Amino acid sequence: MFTTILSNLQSLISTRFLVASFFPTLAFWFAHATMLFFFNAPFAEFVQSNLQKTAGLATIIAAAVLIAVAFTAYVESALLPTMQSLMEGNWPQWIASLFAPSQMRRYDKFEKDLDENAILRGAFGTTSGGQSQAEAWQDSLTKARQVGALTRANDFTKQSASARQIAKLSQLRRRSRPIPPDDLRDAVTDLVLDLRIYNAEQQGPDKKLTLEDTRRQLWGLIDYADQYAAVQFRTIMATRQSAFGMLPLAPTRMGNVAKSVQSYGVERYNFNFELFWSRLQFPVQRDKDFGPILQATKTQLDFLISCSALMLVWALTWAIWLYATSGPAWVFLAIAIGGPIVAYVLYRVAVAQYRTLADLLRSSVDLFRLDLLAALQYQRPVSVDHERDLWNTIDAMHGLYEVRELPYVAPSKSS
Amino acid sequence: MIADRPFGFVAVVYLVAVAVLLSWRYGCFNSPPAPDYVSARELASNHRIVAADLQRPSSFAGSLGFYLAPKASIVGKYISVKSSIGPHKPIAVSALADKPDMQLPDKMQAIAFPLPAGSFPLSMLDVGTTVLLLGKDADTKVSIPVMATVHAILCEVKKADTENCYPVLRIPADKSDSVTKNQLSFHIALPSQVHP
Repeated sequence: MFTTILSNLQSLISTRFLVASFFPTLAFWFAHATMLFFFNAPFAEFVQSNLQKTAGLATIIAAAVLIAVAFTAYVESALLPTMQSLMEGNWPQWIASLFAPSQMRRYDKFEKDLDENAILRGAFGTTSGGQSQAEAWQDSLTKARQVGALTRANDFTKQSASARQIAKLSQLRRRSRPIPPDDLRDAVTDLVLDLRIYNAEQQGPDKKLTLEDTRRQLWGLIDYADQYAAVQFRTIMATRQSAFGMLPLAPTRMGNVAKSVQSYGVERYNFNFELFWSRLQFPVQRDKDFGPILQATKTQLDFLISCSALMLVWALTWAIWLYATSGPAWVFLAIAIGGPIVAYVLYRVAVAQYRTLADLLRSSVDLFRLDLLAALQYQRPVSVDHERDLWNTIDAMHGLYEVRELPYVAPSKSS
Repeated sequence: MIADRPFGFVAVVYLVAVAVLLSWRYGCFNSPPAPDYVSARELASNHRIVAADLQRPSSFAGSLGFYLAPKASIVGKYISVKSSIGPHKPIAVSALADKPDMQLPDKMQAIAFPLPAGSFPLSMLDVGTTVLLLGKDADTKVSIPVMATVHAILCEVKKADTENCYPVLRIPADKSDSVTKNQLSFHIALPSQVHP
C-alpha cells in the first residue's frame, strides 16, 4: 500500500522533489516518531492500537501522515536554497571573518605544497647543457657503463653502498612517496663510480648481473621521480582549483567549492557565472545528455544538504528536549554528541558531491557559453581575447546596467 | 591557534558545554528515575489496577506522557503495599505485584464467586466492598444471608486477549460450608440493593 502511494506520488511530483526533499523529510519525521514511540507512552499506545486497526483505517491514517509529510517537505524544499547558502558560509561579515582563517589555513597548505613541488620540479628542470636533469643523470649512467665495459672486473653486489642506497629509494617508490632530488643525485654519483670501475655486462660475485639490474633500477627511479613531481603539481593544482576560488575565501569548505565555479568562469573567459547561470541553464537543459546528468548531480547534492540540515535540527531538538525534561542521560549524551557528528559527516559528503557538481558547472561554462551567446543573439567571438572582451561588455550591460554597444546577429535556424 | 581553528574551537566548546550540562543535570550519568503515574482515586491494598486508575503526573514532561511506562504494563497489576494509595499519589512500580495477596485474617475463608448473568457489573466491586450473599443453606434449606467482603478481583486471560474476571470474597469460615455446598443457589447483592 505504502509503495503504491509512493508510486502515485512519484507520477505527480518531480523526482527531484521526491529525492531531495520528500524522502529526507519522511526520514526526519520517522526519526521523531521513533523517539516518541520509545519515550512517549501515549504515542506508543496510539501506534500499537493503530497497527491492529482495519486496513481501511490504516490506509486513512497512512494517507494523512503522508500528506502531512509532503506538506512539510514542500516547506523544506523552499528552505533548501537558504540551507545551502548557510552551508556556503553566507553569514554576517563578522562571523565569516571569525571562521575564514580555518579555510585560509587549508589554502596556505596548498600554497606550501606548491612551493615544495616547485623546488622538486626545479631539481628536475633543464640543465646548463639543455637536457632535463633526468636525461642528464641517465646520460651519465650510460656513459659510465660504457667506460666500465672496457674493464674485466665486477665485484659489485647487493651489499655495495650504492646498491643499498638505491634499494632505500626503491622503498620510497613502493610507498608512492616522492624521491628527494639530493638523494637521487647522491645515488647517481655513487653508481656512476661503480659503473666506471666494474663491468656491468659481467656477472658479479653472486653470479648475477646485479650491477646492470641496479643501473636499470636507478634509471626507473629517475623516471619515477621526474614524473612524480609533474603529476604532483597537476594534482595539487586540480585539487586546489576544485576546492578554492578567488580570494577572499568563504568561511566554509562548501562555500569555497561554490566560489571555484565563479573563479573558473571569470579567470578563463571573463564569464560572470553567478549572473549568467540562470540564463546558461537554458542551453544546458536543452542538451539531452548533459542536462539530465547535471540535474541528477544537483538532486544528489540537495538530498545530502537536506539530510545534513534535518539531522542537525533533529538532534538539537531532541538534545534540548531531553535535557529540559530530564530524559535518560545516555540518550541525551548519544544524541547531543552523535547527532552533530552524523550531520557533519553528511555535510562533508555533500561537499564532495558539490565538487562533482562544480566540475559539471565548469564544464557547462566550457561547453554552453557560446550557445548562450547565440541565444542572447550576440556575435560569436573570433578569438579568446575577443571573447573575454565580449563577456566583459555583456557583464557590464546585464550586471552593472551600463549602456554599451554590441551588434546583434540573426538567430540561426538550428538554434 | 584558536583563531586558526575556529571550527575545532567551537566543537571543543560544544563538547565541554554538553559535559557540563550533563554533570549539572544528571550527576555522574545517572538518569533520573522514570516518573510514575499518579492515582486517579484512592487505591486500596490488593486493588487490581485498571486504565482509569492511572493519571499522568503533573510535571511538564509527565503531563505529555514522556518517560512513562506503557499503561498496558501496569494495568492488571495489584497494589502490594499494605496501606492504600491516596488520590493523586504516585503509583511506584515497587508498590505493584502481579498477583493479589491472598492471606486472609483468622476465621475467614476465600471463595471465588463469579457474577451470575444479570447481576450488577463487576466494575461496581472493589477490594473492601461489602456484599450480601443470599441463598439457602444446603442442609436446612433455610434462607440465610451471609455478609462478605471483596478480597480481590481475579482475572483469567482467555483467547483473543479477552478477560474473564470475578471477585474473590472473604466470608466467615463458619459460613463457608453453607455457601460453597449450595453456591449456585446464592445471589450476590450490594447492601444498597437489599430492601428490608
